[in-house]
Amino acid sequence: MRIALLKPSPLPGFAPALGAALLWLGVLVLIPLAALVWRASGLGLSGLLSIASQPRVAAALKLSFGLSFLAAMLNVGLGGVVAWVLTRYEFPGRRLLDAAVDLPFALPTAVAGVALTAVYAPNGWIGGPLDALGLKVAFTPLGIFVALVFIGLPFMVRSVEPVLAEVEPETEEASATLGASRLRTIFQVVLPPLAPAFLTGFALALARAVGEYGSVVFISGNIPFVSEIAPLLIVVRLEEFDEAGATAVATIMLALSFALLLIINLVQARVRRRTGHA
Amino acid sequence: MDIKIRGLQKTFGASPALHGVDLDVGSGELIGLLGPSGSGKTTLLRAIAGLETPNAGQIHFGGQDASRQSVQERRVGFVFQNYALFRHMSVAENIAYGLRVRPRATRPAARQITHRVNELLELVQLTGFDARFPGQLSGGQRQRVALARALAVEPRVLLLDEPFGALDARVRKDLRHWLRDLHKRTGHTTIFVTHDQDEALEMSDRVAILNRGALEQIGAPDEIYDSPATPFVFQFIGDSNRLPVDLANGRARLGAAILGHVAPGLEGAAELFFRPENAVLEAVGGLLSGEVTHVRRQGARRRADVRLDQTGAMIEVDLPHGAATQVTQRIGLRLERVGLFAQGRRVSLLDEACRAA
Repeated sequence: MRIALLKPSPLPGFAPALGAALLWLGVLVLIPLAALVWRASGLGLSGLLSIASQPRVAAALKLSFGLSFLAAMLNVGLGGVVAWVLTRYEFPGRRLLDAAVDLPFALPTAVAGVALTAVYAPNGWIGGPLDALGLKVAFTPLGIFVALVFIGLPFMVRSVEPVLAEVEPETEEASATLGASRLRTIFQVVLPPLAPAFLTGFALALARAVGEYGSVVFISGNIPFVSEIAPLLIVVRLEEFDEAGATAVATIMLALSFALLLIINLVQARVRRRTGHA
Repeated sequence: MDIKIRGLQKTFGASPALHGVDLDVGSGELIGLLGPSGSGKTTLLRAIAGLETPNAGQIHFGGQDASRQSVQERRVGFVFQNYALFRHMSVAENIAYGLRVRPRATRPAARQITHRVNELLELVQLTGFDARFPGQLSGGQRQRVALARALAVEPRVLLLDEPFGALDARVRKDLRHWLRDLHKRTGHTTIFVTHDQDEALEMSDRVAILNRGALEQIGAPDEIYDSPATPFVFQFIGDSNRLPVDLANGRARLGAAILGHVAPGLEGAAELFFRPENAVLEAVGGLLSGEVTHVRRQGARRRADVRLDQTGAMIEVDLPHGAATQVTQRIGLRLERVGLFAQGRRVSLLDEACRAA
């Protein structure tokens, strides 16, 4: 018998397609994550909490999530401007700039880390002048922040760009004919319909930043309690053959990330309803 | 508020969009800007609104020079072709927008804004739709919301760009009457752009015909239809026949037939225009004659294709009611309300062989 839940569809191949999707999702995502939780469950909730409250672990988690959040916030502004420039203006080199946006995406993260460190180190092109002003970037949390902004930017730009391209310029003109200033037009007419796209970009940039490892370890200096990120702490624990500790930190990160994405999705659903996307 | 436009010019890159347009619109008048696509009609409308900056020329609103005023200062109501409603705002918020964005000193109180919004919703027959979003409305309803939004700011001039362009034929017809009615009630000076001649002729007090960035003719619908000023207007409005004519020795000749006299000194090729309904059937043996090659019904009338004996040219002729005209029949023709043009200028025909418009 056919699956009675389905409405008949003219598109063939629903059953095999769904089967393949579920299989991949299972093998690649759900089973490994379940295994992680299974392993951590040996510790019990109290065991997890006690590990989470260890000063070094707590500091690493705070650093990772805090900086990722701040970096994603900065990318909202930065990515918004870049997306605006790319969709709204025609200028020489636009395509080059457009391609460059994807570089943090495509670059091996270690390459990004080495490059950023070279530039922001006290003897680097940008790090030098900043150092003279008394601002240290590389080997401090600020350095991690720079790396996280760098790797998050393409997520923001690519989320906002297509929606921005769809905005009818006439709505801005309509706003002007109704007497609104440019600033008001931007805040009341242009930006509100973009909110869901910005949220998506924010969520993606945040998720990516929380998990980022390669570029950060080079620029951060990895000083425990100061500039040690949570993913690095997992590696450190593993190198100490403390598998339970590594698993615990990993599970805590998983739970926090999941909670964050869930909250963002709920906010997004609300925003969509409010902006009439239904 | 009357509008006076003088010598308006606009170029986009190398291509001129408007060259030297002069236009006077009386207070409370409803003007249709009609032209083929690319004729500059939308550019002219946008220039009046201040959405385009002309390269030269002036625009006056009620004696006040508006040329240097910004879009915001001009206080025009503009209805865009795709309506350009704010999708994230409800119908009421869309309509209230123009009042809410006013500086505090001139902004009406919230209660007054609500009152005004309800008034406008009633005017555009959308009472009860205030909480809907544009995405939940039909095309005709969106159009009316856009109109209400434009009227909310009490504009000095109302400008509409292809107001019915995106609607289907039925809705279009209803809205035409409705807008005409609304104009009578509110009395705003209104300019609308259209490429649909029926729309322009039916709705406008006066029609302005644009072609390649220049004004060809402006006049009442009857004037435009009955006495087109240029060959372009003759061909663009309604159906017409065009016959090549020779001017020589003070005479206009179609093949061997002499159509009439023209002022001496006019020589060379000219064009004779007339409408199918202005060709009158006669007994064969008059000035013009031909053979019917095809007869077809078009709604209320019957129309025949006729091959003229004089030059072999094909023309279209409307047949009178009940005429038993058949294919291959030979008929005689007399032409009325003709337009004779030499080098694009109207030339008068001096005697009665065919009567000029």
